Amino acid sequence: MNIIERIKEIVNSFPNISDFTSGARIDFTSNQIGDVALYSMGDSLLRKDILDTEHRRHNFVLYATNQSINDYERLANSSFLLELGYWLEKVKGGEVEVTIQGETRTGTVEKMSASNAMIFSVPTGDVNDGVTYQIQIYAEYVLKGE
Amino acid sequence: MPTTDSMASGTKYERKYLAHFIDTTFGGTSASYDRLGKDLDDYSIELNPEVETKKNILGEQSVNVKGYEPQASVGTYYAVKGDGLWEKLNAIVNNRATGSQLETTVIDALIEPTSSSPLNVASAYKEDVVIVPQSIGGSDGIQIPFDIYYKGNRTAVTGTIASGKFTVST
Repeated sequence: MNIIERIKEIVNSFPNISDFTSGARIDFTSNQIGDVALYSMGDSLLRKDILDTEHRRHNFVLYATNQSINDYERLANSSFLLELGYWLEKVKGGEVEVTIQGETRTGTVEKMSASNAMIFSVPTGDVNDGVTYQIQIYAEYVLKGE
Repeated sequence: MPTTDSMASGTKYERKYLAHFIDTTFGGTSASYDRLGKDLDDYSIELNPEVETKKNILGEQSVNVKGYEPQASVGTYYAVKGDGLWEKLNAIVNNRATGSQLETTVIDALIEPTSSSPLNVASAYKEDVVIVPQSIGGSDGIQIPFDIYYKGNRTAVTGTIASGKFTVST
């Protein structure tokens, strides 16, 4: 399972995920109420030790569309994202497998964090049709070396 | 004795092929050489050569290398439960140990990849060292950075490397 699949699994295992959606998808939202998708934003190498162990970070954006007719609903949506952010910071572990140029390496998720949880857009221009929220998620993982 | 060189001449070595092992028993009955390097971005053995240069009245320069005082520094070392080196370092710190309690041996090995096995030891040298912890604590995990002072008695050894350990051939 690569880092994208693993983080999707982790996000979908959030205890309160069902308050918002039936499950996050990858790289696609239909802008329908309750639709959630995880978008991969790229991977980078943070540092490497002398055993060739790589500390890497993968960035994601999660877009979620939900009802937003009044302050009560908007507070509930923002609270959901706040709790998701807190919960992600406590997450550790989860195996990751990467194959590069025929070589397969395994690793684990070490740390997650979230930021910029906010309203992203009003897809149809009418808040009664739902609004799309975003939360940026950062996953740091380690690929084992020698 | 170097084993068969399967790495093409002119190929640049990756850092991971110079491996450093430390006997975590500190002179125990049966040595256990664990590999150093986890979380270590940089590790160098400073040779500290003592060089004397002289110029004679003819303008000729002579260079006399009197010796070396090798030393290395493990700047990042995290305590891991059950790890032999951590247990020894913790004991040194808590007992404020000195003298022979700080002595052990290290093996520096050059390894090359082969098609037949994961790691092939091209050459390896064992030397007596003194381990000196520098601090304990830090902000992320429990860190004990330490310095390694090479004492001499460096000898060539043969052995095998597996699962992060060096086993000396008898």
